[in-house]
Amino acid sequence: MEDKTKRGLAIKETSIDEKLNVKADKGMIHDMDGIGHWVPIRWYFSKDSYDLSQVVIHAEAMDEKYTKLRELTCPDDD
Amino acid sequence: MVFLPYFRKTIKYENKSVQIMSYAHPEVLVDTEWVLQNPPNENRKLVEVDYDPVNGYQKGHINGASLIWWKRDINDPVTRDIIGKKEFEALMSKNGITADTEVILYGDFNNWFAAFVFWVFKIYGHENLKIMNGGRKKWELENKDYNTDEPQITSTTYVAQPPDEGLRAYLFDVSRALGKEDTVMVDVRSPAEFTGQITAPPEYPMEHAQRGGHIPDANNIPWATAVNDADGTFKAVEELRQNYESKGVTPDKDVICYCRIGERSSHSWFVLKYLLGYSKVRNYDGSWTEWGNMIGNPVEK
Repeated sequence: MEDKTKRGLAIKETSIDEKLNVKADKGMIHDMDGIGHWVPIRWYFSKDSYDLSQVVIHAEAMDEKYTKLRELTCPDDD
Repeated sequence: MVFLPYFRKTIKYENKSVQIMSYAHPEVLVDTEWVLQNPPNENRKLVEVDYDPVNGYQKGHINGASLIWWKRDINDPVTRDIIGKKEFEALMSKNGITADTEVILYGDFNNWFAAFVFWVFKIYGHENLKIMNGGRKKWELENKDYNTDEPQITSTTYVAQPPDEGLRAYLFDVSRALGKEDTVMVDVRSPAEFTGQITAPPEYPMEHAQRGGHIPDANNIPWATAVNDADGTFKAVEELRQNYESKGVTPDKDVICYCRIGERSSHSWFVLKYLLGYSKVRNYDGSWTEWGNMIGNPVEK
């Protein structure tokens, strides 16, 4: 699974994403104060432990998160 | 005729006289080994300058170093500007620095922010100032020790000089310089930023501009061309001279450096002013986040 909003971000390490407990490629994004935060870019769900429907649940959660963010900055009048 | 400000020195090597070229102001650089052998004391302060102190200073720093956090300590908290004279004096006091103190700066991100702070120190007239060549990158490559203890510092009374505005270029200076043959603009960003392919790398989503490209007629000489990739130290003077002069950035010109927020350009400002000895070099700290966001500013791609 890949977070396309992180496209172009350099991969700095591959380690377990503690939120999903899955191996992930991670990069660093700096906030307004310059502080770097590790962010997952791509998750590797093993076929042995996950089927597609379980991955889709995480993908939909990510999609929902970005929809809410969009609503905050560009609310849809409808 | 172009005046060459850097020095030729004659040294003896195997009983022969050999002429070497050295930096115009070699006294502004110290190496990591020197820092290891010369720890801070009452008259010498070591200051780490970080963009990201959480992943830098707080995880470990050179013994006895205090911290200047670029965002918190050197920028005005409200207006986009460097700190004023009074705030600078308070910062010096907090770091135990007097007007006579020898200060050695080093930091994260290839010393970009250490160079920015060097520039601010010079704006307020601090004289005895040096940069540790290679910064954190070289120190770490050499597996030298860090610790997490913060030094006990006795505050001082510091009286700064009035700001030297000759080191700084503002938007109107850059606008006035457009089309002038005696002024040369040095864009030190990556080629992808220069051509407008990107306005900021994905790591810095807060630093975008409305338009991509560069200031008309600017020369693209990325900051990285001034350093050795292996350890982040500055290249030898002859390589530096070639790097800039081949692009028309010569010591007889009025030089203005810029990047995205003014930190990488202060690194190149340092190279041109102190390593090559150019007499008229200014840092345009408004840089692309100012120029590329202003309505009506000309942009070249």
